[in-house]
Amino acid sequence: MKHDSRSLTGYLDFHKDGSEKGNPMTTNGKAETSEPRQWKGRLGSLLGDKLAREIDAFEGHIEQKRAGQLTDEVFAEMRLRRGVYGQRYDNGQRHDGLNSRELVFPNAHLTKGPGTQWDAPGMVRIKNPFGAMTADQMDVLAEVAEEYADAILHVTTRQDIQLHFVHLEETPDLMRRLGAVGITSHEACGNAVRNVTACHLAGVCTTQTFDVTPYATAVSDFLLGHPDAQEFGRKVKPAFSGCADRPCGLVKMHDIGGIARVREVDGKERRGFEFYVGGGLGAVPHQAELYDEFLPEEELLPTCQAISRVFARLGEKDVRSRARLKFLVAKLGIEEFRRLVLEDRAGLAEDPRWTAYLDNVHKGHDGPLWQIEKARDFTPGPELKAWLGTNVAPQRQPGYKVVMVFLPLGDITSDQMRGLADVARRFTGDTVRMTVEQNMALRWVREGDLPALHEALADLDLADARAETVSDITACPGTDTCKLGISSSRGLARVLMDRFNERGDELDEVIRGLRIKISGCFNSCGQHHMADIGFWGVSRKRNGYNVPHFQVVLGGQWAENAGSYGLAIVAIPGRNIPVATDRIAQHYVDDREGDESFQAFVTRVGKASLRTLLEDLTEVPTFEEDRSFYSNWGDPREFTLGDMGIGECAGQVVSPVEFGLQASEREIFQAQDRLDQGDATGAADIAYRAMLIAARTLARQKESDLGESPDDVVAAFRTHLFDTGLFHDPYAGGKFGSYLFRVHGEGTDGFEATPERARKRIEEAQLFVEAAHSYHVRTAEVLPV
Amino acid sequence: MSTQAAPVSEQRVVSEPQRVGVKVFVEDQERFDRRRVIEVFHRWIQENRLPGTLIDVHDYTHVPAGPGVVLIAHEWHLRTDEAGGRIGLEYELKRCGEGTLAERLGGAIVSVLEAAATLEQDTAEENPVRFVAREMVFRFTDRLAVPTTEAAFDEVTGELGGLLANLYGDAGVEFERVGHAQGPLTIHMRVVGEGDWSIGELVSGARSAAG
Repeated sequence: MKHDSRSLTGYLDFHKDGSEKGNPMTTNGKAETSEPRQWKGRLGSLLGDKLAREIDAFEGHIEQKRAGQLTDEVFAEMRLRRGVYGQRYDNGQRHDGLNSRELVFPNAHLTKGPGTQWDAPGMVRIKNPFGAMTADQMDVLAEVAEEYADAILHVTTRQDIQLHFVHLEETPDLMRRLGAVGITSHEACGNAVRNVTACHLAGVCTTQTFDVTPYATAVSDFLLGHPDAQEFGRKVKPAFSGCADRPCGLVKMHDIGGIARVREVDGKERRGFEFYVGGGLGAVPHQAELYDEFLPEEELLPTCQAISRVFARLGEKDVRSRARLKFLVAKLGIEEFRRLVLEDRAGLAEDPRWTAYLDNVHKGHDGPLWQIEKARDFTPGPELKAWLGTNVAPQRQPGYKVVMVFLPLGDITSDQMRGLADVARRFTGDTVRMTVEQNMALRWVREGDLPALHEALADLDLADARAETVSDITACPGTDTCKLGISSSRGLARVLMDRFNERGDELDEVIRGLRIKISGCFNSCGQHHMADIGFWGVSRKRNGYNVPHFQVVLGGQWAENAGSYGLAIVAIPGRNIPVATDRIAQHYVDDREGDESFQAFVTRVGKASLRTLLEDLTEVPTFEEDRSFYSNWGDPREFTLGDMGIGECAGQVVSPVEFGLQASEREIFQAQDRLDQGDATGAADIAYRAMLIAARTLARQKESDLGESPDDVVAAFRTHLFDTGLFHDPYAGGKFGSYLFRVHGEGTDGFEATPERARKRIEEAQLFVEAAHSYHVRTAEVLPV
Repeated sequence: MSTQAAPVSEQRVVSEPQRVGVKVFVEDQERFDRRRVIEVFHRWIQENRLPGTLIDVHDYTHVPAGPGVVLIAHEWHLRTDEAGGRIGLEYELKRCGEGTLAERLGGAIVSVLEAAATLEQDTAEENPVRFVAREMVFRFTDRLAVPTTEAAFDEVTGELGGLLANLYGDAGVEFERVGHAQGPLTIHMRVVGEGDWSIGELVSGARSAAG
């Protein structure tokens, strides 16, 4: 048996003395009074000198911060680079549904970052390159989750694991315990190279060109802590995929990414990558640009190094909202960016690590981890049959299967994780991978073992037959734990999952295959742009109250490595989203033509028709008629943006503002419609007009006789709203306001409207109008209950 | 494995845990309304109904056999735990514990019983939640202080035997080590003798035991 191609160190040798203890990194069965009562002493020899020193240093930084020897900003970046992140309410304020109240922590005088309370629980993100885990690692992950967090491990859309409600001072021990089994949280957050993701089927996929696992490993190992990858203005997210068509790798939405390719050179087959740069989601999504049609494998690491150096040298550092690699690529153009990278690459000193790993790659083979014994036939009952249909897929190796373990909203308990580790040992030869859809994949399962595996998973409540179906919904943490969340993405996801699940077999097969993805704000962590039906959280002022809404995004493409992005068509109150989802889905069932995909269906029927379908659902009953509209799903508190740190200062409810902002939204919709019709120039003009309408609507509150000239509107907006900071987003600052100035400048200087540029302008107009709504919510008076 | 409380051995393997959980079970599992508990927990934050820095309510009801609805405080977590397929209320001390092992255990027992009594009281008018008084589960999520071993089991049950005598008198209790061998030391306690107690009565006994 061999282990998954992840490199493992000698710590596994410690697992061999049996008895009742199992994993020796625990104290189980090993506790003697002579043993150190601290993890540092107990695990020191298992960590390796470098990692042990790094964690000791971080522990020292915690003490230095406590002693006032480090600034908030410096310490925040230090802890982020170790994967220690902030969490909602860590500013010590929370709205309890009646009042905003202070959370009184013991060390109220201490902070761990700007405006971040020392004792406020936080999140720890743990990197698992390409989502791979061994059973021993799963055991330790389960332990740290139940000891330091809330006994839940949350699988992210980038194949990380996140633990929530962790106390800062417990993070060094958490890191030591993970480090003892070869897991790190180093550079899981912060302005660094983040987790390297890859298709969870790599190595066993029926459509792969070759197994990208060793290349993802090499990039991950090479860039972790690399001196050339330490000076970024923002993060860099890499991804790899074994083929172009399937979505598992999502290469085109990443900063750097490679799709496996082979080419015949001098009569020999050579490996390389179709290599992309500058993709990303976020507020304004960018499709990655093709850097090289065929980047030879030996050039992979030096090219990544050169890209890092160019990005560190030329990337934006001051304006955070323009600092991702995608903005540098867009600013320079792909040709100039490529030239700079090649120039830098030519000057790099040879590094033996660039190619050292290739020997092992070529010696390796996609051989089975288990020998197939005599095939065992079985006749599945109804439950097993359903599970086989949704959760089991063939491998390229005959006789083996990949089994998907469905995790609702990416969550798994510590107990389940431990049980799943046992399952992995028993049925897979110890290889588990997390997926970008927040599930887990068990590979190398012998076909004849499927009934027993199903039974073992059922014992763990992990045999739900709905992996990668419409009720397998992706959602970011949203208002549950994220400081930026506006609407409850997980609350909505729970409701939608339950509704689809209740319908069971009655659910039309066509609907069953749709993908739904939800983000709590515009930042796209739930990947709503790439879903058939996506939602992102916004707030609207209705009847004098803040009402949680979701923008409905249709027409994204999950396949072809996230081949295209959808666009928002209308904002619907959160309470009406389940009905809206049903209507959209039923429309597709009733009116699709032949085998038409959902994306093709949306394009054919048009967004205008779909918007009309949902128009009545934009209405909000009065507070007295139905209070539920004024709360998030799963949260009985009256909705507020106060938890985001936005104060609700006194002002006046002004209906003309709402009318004006709704008019600007209609314009944005018209722009999308025009773009769908192939008129990029018209679409860009209308998007610009939408921004002007929103800007004038707000500026007229300050300057009632303001005219309609674009120059006057922009000048008034700048004077009254931008330069005063009133329009600034509490987190994004002047980012959204600056969109207006740039678009206005483009408008007067002549704007060459390609479809991609028009699409970006529409996205920016949408965000500008959302920011206008937020400004209005912040400054308008809330009527008394 | 099932055993009566064993005497504390001379060589101690257990020290004072930073984290310890105590769970009591809900009587009527079928009628337990998890949605309603979300509202109750939010109200407890508004009204400062429990001691500590109460932070937020977290909904894990979508996770089978998961933590259910969790009230997060700085010092502890309180959850409608569904581990093992049985819904209950589990208090877990997370930090700021003080005193000996017995004092920490005693404090956790008081805390879970007080929370259970408060939940019973707050739901009394409609579909009341009632808790089983004759069973508890103790979970030690601090492997440094309380390893998952037989020796630790003996030591901890020795302490628990003394503490629980204050609640159940002469009725006697039985301890069983449960859960995964790799998991935290988890001990199921049940009263073996005759007797009938309400959660409220247990609170009084637990308070006097905890001093």
